[in-house]
Amino acid sequence: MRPALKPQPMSKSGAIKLNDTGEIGAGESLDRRRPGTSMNTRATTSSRRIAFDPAPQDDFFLPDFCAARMVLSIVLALELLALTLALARPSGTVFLTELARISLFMQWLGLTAAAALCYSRRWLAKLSVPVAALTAFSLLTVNVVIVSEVVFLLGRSLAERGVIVSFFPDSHWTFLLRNVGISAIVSIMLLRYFFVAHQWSLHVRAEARARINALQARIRPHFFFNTMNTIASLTRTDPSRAEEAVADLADLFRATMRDSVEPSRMSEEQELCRTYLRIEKLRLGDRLTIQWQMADALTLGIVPSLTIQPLLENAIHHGIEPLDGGGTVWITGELSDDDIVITVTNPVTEMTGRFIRPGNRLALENIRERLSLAYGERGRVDVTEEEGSYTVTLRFPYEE
Amino acid sequence: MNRSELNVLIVDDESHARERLERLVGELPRCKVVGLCGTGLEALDLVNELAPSVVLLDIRMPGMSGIEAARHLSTLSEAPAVVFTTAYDEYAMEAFDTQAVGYLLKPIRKERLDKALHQAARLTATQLKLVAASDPESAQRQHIAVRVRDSLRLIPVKDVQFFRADQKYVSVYHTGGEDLIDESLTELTEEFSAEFLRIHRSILVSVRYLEAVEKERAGRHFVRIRGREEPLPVGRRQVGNLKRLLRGR
Repeated sequence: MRPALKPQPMSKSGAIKLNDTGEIGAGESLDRRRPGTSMNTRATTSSRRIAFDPAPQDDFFLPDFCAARMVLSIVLALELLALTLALARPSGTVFLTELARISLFMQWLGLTAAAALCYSRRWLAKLSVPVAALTAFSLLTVNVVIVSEVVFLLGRSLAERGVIVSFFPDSHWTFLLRNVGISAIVSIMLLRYFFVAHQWSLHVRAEARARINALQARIRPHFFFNTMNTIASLTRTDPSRAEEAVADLADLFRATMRDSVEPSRMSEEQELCRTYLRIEKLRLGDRLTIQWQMADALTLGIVPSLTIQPLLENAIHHGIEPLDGGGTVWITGELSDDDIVITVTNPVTEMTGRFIRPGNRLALENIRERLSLAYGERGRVDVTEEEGSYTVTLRFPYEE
Repeated sequence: MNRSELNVLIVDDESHARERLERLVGELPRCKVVGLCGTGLEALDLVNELAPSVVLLDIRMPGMSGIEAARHLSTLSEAPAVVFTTAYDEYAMEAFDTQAVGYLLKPIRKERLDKALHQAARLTATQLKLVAASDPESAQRQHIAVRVRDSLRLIPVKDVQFFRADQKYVSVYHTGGEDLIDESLTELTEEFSAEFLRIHRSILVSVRYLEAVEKERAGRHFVRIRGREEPLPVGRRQVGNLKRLLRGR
């Protein structure tokens, strides 16, 4: 099955306007950007929302019986059931013949049932759960009656022509009633199973989403209060910068508050990072240097929202703030084998290294979890520690 | 010191935070800013130089945290009163309350600042130790303060080779010499358990400087310390610990 939270852009056309103002080149520090351009970029952010369906399949409890994997499962399950029935036959019958005969009949029965459910699924999905279950049950029963009748009539017409095939049943009503009975029991069990499995998957999905929401809302309080303090100071000394900082902070919070399962465009996520870095730059001044190298090829890509910004927050909180003279955070982004690869590097000293782990780990786990929910094994977070530097690498498939 | 006027030293690593505090203190009656700085180390120097009556001390600063700076200040005979300022430090907060230690939350309100400055008191070393213990980043000092007449000299913990207790005092032996400090070996052992090992009833050795263990003919063990001539005796019960540690390296 597909990962439940796989981003599915529903509309690729129109609506998404991207502008490329203010790319920060290598070695260029953030505060050299003109305030005007950044305001313009932000103004269009809200119109760039991308529709996102967290669950590709709808919320109906019956699975899609047309899917190849489903058909295969049905065939296998029916074969197991046929084997059970053949084993349960009294001694005196030839086992393999019994198995072949039961299998043949049941595969026909199963595949026609799957076809019936496949075609009626869209229609069933519109009904309430009990009505849909009852209808599905009736469909399966009607199906078994029809198949049984066809088989019986076929056997009789062959017999009338003088061809006696021991394969075919001889007693009409026993044959029909037994089949309906077995089918009814199996159908009820199956419908029940699908219903429970569906409930469970809904529950798992809801839980994952709740956890994402909770974790995502965490902007470090330390950062928030320090920023408020900076703004309080600027209101007197530099009101226009204070105003800009308020707008930046508002944008940042808007991003953390919106529906968390909605992914972002890379360009949007990058803009968010820059907004965040502008605030930190204001707060830390010369102590913070940013080296930003993002390949243009990434801008249209999709990324689960708020995956890069928390890395920057970690890098600054654990890597730059505890350093006496400050330091440099390196951010790179590139396309490699159809994967987006993002790295964030910050300096580590013996002193800062001691404390880097606890808070950092929480944010990394959050990102790791979200990437794996969205991309399965193709979404990865790796940490490398070298002499004096700490690098987090994100890797996930490029999708538009 | 002038009773009617409070001389305030402001310590914060963020320039905007300093500016704002400077302005707020300046607007208060009978308060005067005598100095501003951005690190704990500078603060210790400026306290020596300016003898402020109150220090407004940010907690999270690079190099030396505010809590550590306050601990060193508390060893001075004429220690100033301290008010901590913090944006959000979930750990220390509770300890501040229980230890009646003055603190202000950023962004700071003028009225609260006024009140805190006038109520500010000299902090006792015990209060500070308890506060520090609640904050993982400050639980372990990075410097040992040595009092030289009225001022403080700081010895980075990473330069300390060992501590040795005599009858009355504890001496700290470091790469730059030896000094007397007014602390107990038991508390030092506890605080620096991550990097120091008690090898004897009266000796606490930095693992960083451990060189070798030697056995004398009489059966007694000694350790050699990098950069020191004389070997140090090892208590009989500590031999096992020490050997295990050296093997693990």
